[in-house]
Amino acid sequence: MEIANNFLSKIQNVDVVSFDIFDTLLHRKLAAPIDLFELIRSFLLSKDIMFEHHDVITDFPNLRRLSEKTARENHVYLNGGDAEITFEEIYQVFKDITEISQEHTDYIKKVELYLESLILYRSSEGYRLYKLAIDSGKRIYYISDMYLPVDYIRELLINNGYQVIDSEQIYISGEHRISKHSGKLFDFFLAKNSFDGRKCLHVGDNHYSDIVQASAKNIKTHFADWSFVDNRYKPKKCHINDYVAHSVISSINLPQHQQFLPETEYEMLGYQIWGPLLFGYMSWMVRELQAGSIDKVLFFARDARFIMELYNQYFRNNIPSDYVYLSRASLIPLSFTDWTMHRVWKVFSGRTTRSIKEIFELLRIDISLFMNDLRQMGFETIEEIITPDSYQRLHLIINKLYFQIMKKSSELRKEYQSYFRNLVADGSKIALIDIGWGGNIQSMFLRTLADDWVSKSYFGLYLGTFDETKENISPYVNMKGWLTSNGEPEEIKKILQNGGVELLEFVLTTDHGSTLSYKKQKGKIIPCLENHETEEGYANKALSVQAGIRKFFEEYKFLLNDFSMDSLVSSVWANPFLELVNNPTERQIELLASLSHSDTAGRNSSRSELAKKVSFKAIIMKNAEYKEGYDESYWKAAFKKRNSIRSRIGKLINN
Amino acid sequence: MKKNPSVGIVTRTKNRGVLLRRALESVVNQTYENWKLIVVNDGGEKQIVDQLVEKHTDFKDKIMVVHNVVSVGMEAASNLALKELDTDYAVIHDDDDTWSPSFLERLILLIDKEKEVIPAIEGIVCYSNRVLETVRGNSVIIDSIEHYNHWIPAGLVSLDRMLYQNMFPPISFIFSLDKCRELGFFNEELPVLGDWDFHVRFLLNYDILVVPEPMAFYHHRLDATGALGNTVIAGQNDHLTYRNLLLNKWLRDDLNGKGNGLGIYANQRAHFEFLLNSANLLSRLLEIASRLNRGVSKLEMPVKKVLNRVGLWK
Repeated sequence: MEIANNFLSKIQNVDVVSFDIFDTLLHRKLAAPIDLFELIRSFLLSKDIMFEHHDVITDFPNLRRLSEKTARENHVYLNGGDAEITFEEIYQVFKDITEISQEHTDYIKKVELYLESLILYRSSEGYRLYKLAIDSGKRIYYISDMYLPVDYIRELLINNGYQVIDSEQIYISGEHRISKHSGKLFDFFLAKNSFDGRKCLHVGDNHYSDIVQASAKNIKTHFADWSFVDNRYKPKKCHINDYVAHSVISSINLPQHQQFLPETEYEMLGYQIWGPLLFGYMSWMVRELQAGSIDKVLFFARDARFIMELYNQYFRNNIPSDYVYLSRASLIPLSFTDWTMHRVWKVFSGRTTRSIKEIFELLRIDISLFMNDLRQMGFETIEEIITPDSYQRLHLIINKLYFQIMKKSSELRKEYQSYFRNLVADGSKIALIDIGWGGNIQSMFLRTLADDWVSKSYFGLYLGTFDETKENISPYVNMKGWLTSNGEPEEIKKILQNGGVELLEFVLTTDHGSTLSYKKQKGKIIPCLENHETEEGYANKALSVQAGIRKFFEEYKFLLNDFSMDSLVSSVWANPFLELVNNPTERQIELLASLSHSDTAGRNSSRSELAKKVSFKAIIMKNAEYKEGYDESYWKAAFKKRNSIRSRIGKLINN
Repeated sequence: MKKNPSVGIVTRTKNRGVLLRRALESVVNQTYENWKLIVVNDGGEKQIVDQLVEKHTDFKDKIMVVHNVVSVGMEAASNLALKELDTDYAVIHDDDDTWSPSFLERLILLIDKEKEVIPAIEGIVCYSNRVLETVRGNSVIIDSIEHYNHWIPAGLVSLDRMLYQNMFPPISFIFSLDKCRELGFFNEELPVLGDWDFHVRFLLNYDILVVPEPMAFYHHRLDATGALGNTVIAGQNDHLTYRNLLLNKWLRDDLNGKGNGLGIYANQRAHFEFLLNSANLLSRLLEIASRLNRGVSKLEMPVKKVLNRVGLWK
């Protein structure tokens, strides 16, 4: 309101308001204007032009910058005056340097103009001042130091809601060969329209060109301080696919981008952190679907539910997909077609304590019929709670009952496998989508399929997979991860294992409970789901984060529509997320550390905090309470920060 | 490829009703239905075998019992049944071993599929788990289970590796019955290691696919002797004797100009493996010594011992 009043008072005594265009009325969805050249390269990487001009396209950003610089130098050398050039001149130099054909040059020009229009958006602040000026009856002009053709710029303005009645309203340096930077374009503008500078106000973001030079012509000025642009070329040591991801992620934090940021803090986390992460994962995943000629996609409950929604909304392809209700708990009893020790451990792994009876209920075995075996192993009752001390003995009992468990498993498969087989019926190369980690769910799922496991091919495409997958991978169990595959690279795996996994599972929570088992109803197999109400608070926060993720996808869907997935694949999309896990801010900790998580098969009701808060005494003494809190916390970096002397004292002072 | 190929199962037994009961259950629980079973009672008591088989009335058309009044020996008993079978595939299900209910279904489907890509595949084997158990009266108590041969790489069985040592027990191996016939069945002269000899001869002509899923259970009773003993446990000396008997025979055939190179290769392979194991042992010892920072002098004796074993210490 203050800015508006200030602006209104400034324009009170003027007749004319002129606006700079780029970074004042229009912004780009990239960190810097020159990043457009990186975007063009990414776009061209998958096009046929690569076959003829591989090296030119690979080095396009440099060549494009060089062409512009050379064109400016040539112009000054030949004509003197300002180094103002046209789009055509830049590409003439580009053609001369690279020796590519006119046809290809024209094609690249077209691509540049197309992508420029895709990434430009209307500035909310710029538009607000423009509206104030219009509503105050001022005559509007647009003055820009730019090489793009005036007609193109006119169209850009109109498409973004700015009125352009005739092209005389637009003053472009390239067209007139004089610039705001030298002040001459202002002179020309005033002279051509017989304006008195004192009756004009100019709005722009470049302090020298838009403020100093305009003021020198007695034009009143208003600095467009709502944007930040650093157009210097900063070489980055990264893969060519990484530039665009870097640029998009950096642009999110620019002041001009604030107009897109959601209002609530959880949505904001979704937009800034998980949005890029899922964007990166899904670009990779869809690239893999295309490369593998997949004809059916199955999204595994529950973590892949939201991923499926994004897939259906933002990825344009015709591969049919389905959602599979399953969980570790629902699959374990069906999965014993063979007997591997690691799968036996999975029956009772997790941090939540359970009784012997509960563990065997998971396997659908009535353990009370095997009291003799239990007693032999030193267990007195079936109600005995299993602790790490008794894991080995329990493992032995499960092994002893392998024949009964496998027989039961075979019966259960016979009863329920139609649910799974129906899901794969219309595919032959089937992708299995989930966030991943050990590959156990895929391994168990495949074992429910009987001959469909043999007659069809399956590929697990996960956000990440850990070393444990090596126990599951075989010629008949194929899987890979995006961020980390089989635990490589190790540093990413460690970040995921120190809170990343649980933070991801929080965000991907969905509106139904965990799948506990299956049942027959009217001849159909349906899943039995755990009551979802216990997780409501948690779920609401997750839904807010998801809304933020959707907003991110909405902003950048043009990349998904117009770029090949291959050119978008980059692990850089995960950087904000990795930073969150490794080095969270105090505010992020406040928002996320108290969330609870359950990692036990079939036990969503038993949950513990991501990063526990211990007493101040424990922090000072680093005693057993501190150690226990640390061990029980999933998110280690958050635990350390949340329970640091500095954080606690800081909070005391703030309160 | 033939749809729904048939599988002949051969179970040899002799006075081991306590174990045969479980073996029969293992077979009748198979989800794959196109099988037939021949139980060869090789000189054992007749009544208990008939009684156990008759219990499975639903399968009476699929189970056949052959009673040998006098024992003909393990491999001859197998051959007797194999010659009787007219199925596409065959498998030896020893009376003390067990399968996962999915064993036949999974392996038969896989071999049929993989043969389309590699026609030389005529056999398929899955990983085995070793089950350690104790028999007390008519009850079997399972003591523990461990992975048995999960070190075998998935894909095709290496003939080279098989020449050094048998890699899998019969319970895990399904083979083409036609090819078994062509090879002349099992060697009836061998009281032990008939399976190794068969696997080597099989691999000399055909390929065997490895499925890295432990669906076969190879049962061992460490403290049992007599009827309840395992040949690999109770007859450990026999195994060493007959291993060298086979290696010598193959080598002799080669040296006499009657062989195909198998003897020279297999004997060199065995020697190479021995050297390799010794070198590994040596390197492990050195590693431990360097880790413990105790100095090489402490290693003098163990190194001497190893070098002595490989004949390099004079």
